[in-house]
Amino acid sequence: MRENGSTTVLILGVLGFLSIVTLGTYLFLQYSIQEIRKYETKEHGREALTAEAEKLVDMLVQDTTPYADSRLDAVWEYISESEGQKMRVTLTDVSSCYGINWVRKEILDHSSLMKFGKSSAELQQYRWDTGLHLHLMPDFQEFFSAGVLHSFFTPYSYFNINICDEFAVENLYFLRTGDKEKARLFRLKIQEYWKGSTPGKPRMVEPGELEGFLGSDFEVLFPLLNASPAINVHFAPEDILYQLLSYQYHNVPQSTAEFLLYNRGTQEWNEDELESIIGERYKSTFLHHYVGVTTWFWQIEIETHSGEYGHVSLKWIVARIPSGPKNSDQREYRLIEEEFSH
Amino acid sequence: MRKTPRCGFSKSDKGFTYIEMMVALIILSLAGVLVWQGISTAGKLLDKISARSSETMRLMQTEETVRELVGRIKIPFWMSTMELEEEEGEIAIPFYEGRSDNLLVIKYEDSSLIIGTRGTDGEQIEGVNSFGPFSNAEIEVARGEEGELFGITVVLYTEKRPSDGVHITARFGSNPLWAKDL
Repeated sequence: MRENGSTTVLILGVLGFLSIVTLGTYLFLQYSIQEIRKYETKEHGREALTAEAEKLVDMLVQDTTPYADSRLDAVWEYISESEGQKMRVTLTDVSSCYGINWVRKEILDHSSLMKFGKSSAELQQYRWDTGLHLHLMPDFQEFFSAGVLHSFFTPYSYFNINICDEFAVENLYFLRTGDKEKARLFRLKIQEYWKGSTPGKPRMVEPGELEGFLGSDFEVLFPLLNASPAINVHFAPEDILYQLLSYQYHNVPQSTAEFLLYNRGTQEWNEDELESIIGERYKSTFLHHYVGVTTWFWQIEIETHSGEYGHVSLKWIVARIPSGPKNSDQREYRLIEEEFSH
Repeated sequence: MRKTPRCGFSKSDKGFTYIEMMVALIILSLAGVLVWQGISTAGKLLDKISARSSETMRLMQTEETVRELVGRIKIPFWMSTMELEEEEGEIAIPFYEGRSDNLLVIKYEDSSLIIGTRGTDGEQIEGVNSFGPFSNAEIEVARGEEGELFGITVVLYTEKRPSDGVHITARFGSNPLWAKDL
């Protein structure tokens, strides 16, 4: 064995060690670069989806028939044109259902939606004890099946003073002010007002009377508490429309309900036209506080599977701001919820 | 004519002279020093790149997690006030996943940024995510132009660049509509 060969072994060892270090560093850098690119792609995807969602909101704002929302609006044409394109756009009216936080006992009893053995009084007590809820499931699974909850109820809804459960209004008042006693007095004020109703002639607070009725509470409660119809006739689920129109105090003929359901996809009605279709019972009952022509909360979902961004999706909930004395001409939507997944 | 060998150099086959050896050794030493310098510089550079790269990765992972978890804070649209628990280097925000009794806790402790959840009555943080080491971190609420609360800002100071903070602003998943006091 040659002794001077040890130098070569040493050099080989050093070279081998250096190679391993270099390879390790190279692989780590490659991984880092990949991760950074992935992150950048995701951010570009988010930007692209946000731009698309903003475009949809702009179309809602610029609607040429701002007094009503229906499938004849330009935004729906844009959505149908975008089918098959690289981005899948979905627009859903998420407010045209019964508000899970405010629906009244009588409506629940009429609709028979509750689980066997559960009563509307128990639900009212549960809401009173636990406050307002943002989730249907699992918060209300004790009272309704999952299918019923998702088909008939929504947490995204304003509170119409005429059709809200008065205890829900008390909860809302308390959440807005933190004053339990004033909240209780406010509930008593509403109950007292309703006592003035006579058979066939219920007392109601119309939009123009709301500020006067609420007084100093107007600033705190409006527009969360308002007098605008909660459900849009153009988008409400069929069963809800049937239930509301056939409700004993509304008592609208079934043929009218069928006319509305048959034609709402091809016609857009404003509130006066809706009144003339439904008849005198629309304004003389609480029906015009339940059913109207405006959507208050929209869900915008945008999804793409393109090679450019991979699979990314964006969900927005936007709320239309009800017009009041200070913003009667303005049309405004605000983003209240955002969820991005990749 | 007989050639006289130049001083110190020999053409004999017997080997090198001392001077030849010395020159060769000097050249080899110089070359060795240069190679060693090169390897050392390359090594330092690789170390620097690796360190910077791993720092960037760590910051990216922190940003992604902070954004994701803060995005799960859903303040209902009807709320007007919200009680934040703020201490030095720690913040606890209610309405994690839309529930008022569920808090998202972000704190800086022992050179790490810690993010987790806990109940309003609890002390123990669950689902802990820990990132670091960082030389310091500042955690504060993020407000819009009109002073409205919309998220959380975390400023992270890395060990390599302790004076240069990296700002991460994460938005809540949902915000109230008419919050005068937030």
